[in-house]
Amino acid sequence: MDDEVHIASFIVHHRPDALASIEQLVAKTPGAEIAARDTGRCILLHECGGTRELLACMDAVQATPGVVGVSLVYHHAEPQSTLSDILQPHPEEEGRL
Amino acid sequence: MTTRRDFIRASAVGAAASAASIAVPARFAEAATVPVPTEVKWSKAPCRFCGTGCGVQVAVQAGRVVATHGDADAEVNRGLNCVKGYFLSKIMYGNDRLTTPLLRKKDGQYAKDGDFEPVSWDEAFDVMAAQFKRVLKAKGGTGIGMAGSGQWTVWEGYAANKLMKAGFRSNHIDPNARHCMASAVTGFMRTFGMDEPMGCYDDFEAADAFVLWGSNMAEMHPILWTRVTDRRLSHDHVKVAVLSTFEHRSFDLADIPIIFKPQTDLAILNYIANHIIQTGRVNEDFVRKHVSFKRGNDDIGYGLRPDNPLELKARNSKDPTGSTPIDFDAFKAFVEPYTLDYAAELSGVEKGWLKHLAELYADPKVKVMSLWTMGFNQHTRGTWANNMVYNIHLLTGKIATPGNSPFSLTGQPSACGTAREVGTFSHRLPADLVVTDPEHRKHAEEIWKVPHGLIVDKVGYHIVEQNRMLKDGKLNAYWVMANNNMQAAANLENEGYPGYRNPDNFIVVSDPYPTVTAQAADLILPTAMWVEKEGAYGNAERRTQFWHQLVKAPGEARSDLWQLMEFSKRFTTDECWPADLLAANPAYKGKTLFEVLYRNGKVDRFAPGEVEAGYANDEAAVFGFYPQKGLFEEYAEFGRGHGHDLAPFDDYHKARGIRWPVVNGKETRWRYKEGSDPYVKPGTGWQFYGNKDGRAVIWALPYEPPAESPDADYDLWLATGRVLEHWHSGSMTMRVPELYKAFPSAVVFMNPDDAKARGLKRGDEVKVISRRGEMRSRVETRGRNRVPVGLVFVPWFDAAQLINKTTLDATCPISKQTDFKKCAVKVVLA
Repeated sequence: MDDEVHIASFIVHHRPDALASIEQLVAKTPGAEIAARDTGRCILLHECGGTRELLACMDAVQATPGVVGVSLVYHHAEPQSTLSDILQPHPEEEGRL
Repeated sequence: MTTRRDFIRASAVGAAASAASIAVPARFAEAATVPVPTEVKWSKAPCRFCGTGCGVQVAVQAGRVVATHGDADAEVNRGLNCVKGYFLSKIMYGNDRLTTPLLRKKDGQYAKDGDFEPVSWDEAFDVMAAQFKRVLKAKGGTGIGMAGSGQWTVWEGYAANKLMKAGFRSNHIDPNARHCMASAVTGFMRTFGMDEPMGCYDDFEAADAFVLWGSNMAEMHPILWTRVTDRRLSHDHVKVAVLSTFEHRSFDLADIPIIFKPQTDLAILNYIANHIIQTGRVNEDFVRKHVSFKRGNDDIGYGLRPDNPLELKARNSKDPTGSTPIDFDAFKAFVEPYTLDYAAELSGVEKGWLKHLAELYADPKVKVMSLWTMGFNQHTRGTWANNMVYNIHLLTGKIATPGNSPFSLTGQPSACGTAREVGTFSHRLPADLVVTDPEHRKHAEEIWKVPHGLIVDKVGYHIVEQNRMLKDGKLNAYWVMANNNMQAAANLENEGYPGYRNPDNFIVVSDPYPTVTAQAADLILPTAMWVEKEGAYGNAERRTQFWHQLVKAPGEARSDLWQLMEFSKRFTTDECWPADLLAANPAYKGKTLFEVLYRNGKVDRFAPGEVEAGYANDEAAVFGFYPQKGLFEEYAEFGRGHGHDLAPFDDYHKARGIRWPVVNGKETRWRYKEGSDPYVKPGTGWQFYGNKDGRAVIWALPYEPPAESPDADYDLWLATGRVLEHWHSGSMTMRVPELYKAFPSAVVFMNPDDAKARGLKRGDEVKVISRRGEMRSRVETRGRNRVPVGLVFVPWFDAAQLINKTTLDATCPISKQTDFKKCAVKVVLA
């Protein structure tokens, strides 16, 4: 599964003053970005090579002071090769857990 | 131009944004609109794990579940899933899934000391029936027992209850839910005369304060915790108080963090009642109209074996439920000694925090939601703790209105729906009826269409007692379904294992995996799980949820329902019922249990063709009728018109769950309150109609010490519990590679000072030793749980580290639920 790409989104609940530390952590994590922000919550988008990295990222966010919860909402994995297909995407069912 | 990567990234953000009600940022919105052709079939189901009852969408492709995700249309979780729920589909595909019955054999014959060999269902049931008949002949139904589950579907629990209580005439059927929320049940029954919460999850968005009494929701009910978190972080006035005997992840959100000494929650509860009274904040109008007062028997023992010195010494060990009526003034005098000073001294909690906590309840403007699970329920005074939290809600009238909600959370997916509502306890019948009441038995016999006088009038063995009775040779034929009680029950080396291996006994375990319990059995039956069968669960907020069979079980694995019904064909009434009863009711003579219990003109009245088009139903195909629907409709007769009303069967397949009572097609969110509960008469305000006088009971109950406390020889408290990644005994989650890797082995969480004092460091291999047994583990001084000096915390999910070798089988004498949170151990270098 070396060429598999995992794309996942999380909702992070945090104390409002913790956003800066989360941003710092995300900046250091390859493939991660904050996709949306709201008071006390943000959506984290993470693209990586496997579930191990995914869970490590979740754990690191969870361990950030002021973070009170991390919930995985969406997770999709498929071979790198098909991801650059244009417009006619493979059906979503290819996403295996 | 949109690539597939763009589309997936946009979908990921879109799903999260919709779950959290955050607007989707424009740069993602566009890409998400690409239509996706689909060949997989998505269907709804509730999650298989805890009592929260999250809705999931399950994708099936080529007969296999390939994906699950949070159901955005499910009110409970609104598209969110915790990490366990996320990897849900993988629980069915562990490498060691059981696919054929396994019987202990030697020289081709069943032998208690033989090794497991694969056998056919016919051979398995032949041997099993012969063993059950041997016991029936010698002792009657009293030699037969069953350990069931809050993981059974509603109809499986109902079918099992009938087979045991009407078929074999044995009340020795009890669920693992006894370990989980029996104290909540007895608490509800004693205070309200009726089981289950009055409020619902809608309270999360209405409360001004949340108090966690012995619940680590952040890890154990993470989705409900997101609702608490949302409320707290978006409303500055909202406060969260977290009470525990050690610091865990829920403390991250705590405005009022309270670490108390084990057992002293009882004193804190009485202090709060006293504080409310002393500061003149009793809601006098509410109390006058809707409350009565009782003083409960004290000194009630610890639910140990009757010859234990602690039981002999206890004044009321034989009458733990007794009470005397009192009035408000007597209650006031009773709690008066529980001053702030006394509560602080006993609990070790700083006075300032206790006062803040008491004020949340006392302040009439603050709507409070109290939440609890095992910290209250697994407690030798668990029933009392439940009664006492209701006391403070009742004194202030903060109950049954949005946001004012004492709320008992549950740990199993259908602890409420199956164990409690169906009444698979040793004292219960469906819809809160009990075996000791002649009218209740008569009513059940009528609905079941069996002769009057059939149901035994004595309470059967509860699940802790079942292990004792197996060991003592009183219970000899035993069927364990949908639970892992060898790993789960306390004091396993002295009370659990010897009973299973007692040569007089025949032990059957139905499970999808070779659990610790299965390996201690004589016959293992491979079981279909979750969406391999049609099912129904009831969650903690009275929400009943259905799902269809979506895939086939592997190999020869069969559902518990099939196993129960098929096995019942091998017995006739003449083998199970007394001759005089049959002589008086000759129509039943010579019939099989299958005929009288399931082919009774009710359970079999729906044709297989009524199964929704597009879904399989293996049981309907085998039996020639739709047993799930027939069983459900027969069961629903118990509750309709009695405050437990369930909707028609088909409605549940359409809805994302419906909360009972369902009256005139409408669910009920807040019971006992005029306007929201159709059972409450206009003009009354509130009616606690579970009690004949319509009043809830405030109980005068004292603080009493635990059964065992640390001393010079065993100098540490042991509390056991759970971690986010694993569900209970780990029999499912340990088979999901991602969850296994995330938390592969149990550890002993220990305070660094305690470790240092014992010459231990993080990672050292140690032995945890109690008066009952020992087990090996490793020291953890960091991580998610920070324990105080004098206490260790060990999770019990790990089958390779059986912490229940050390725990004490002391129970709440009223609920019979084991206290897994308090016993004395020592920890030494291995």
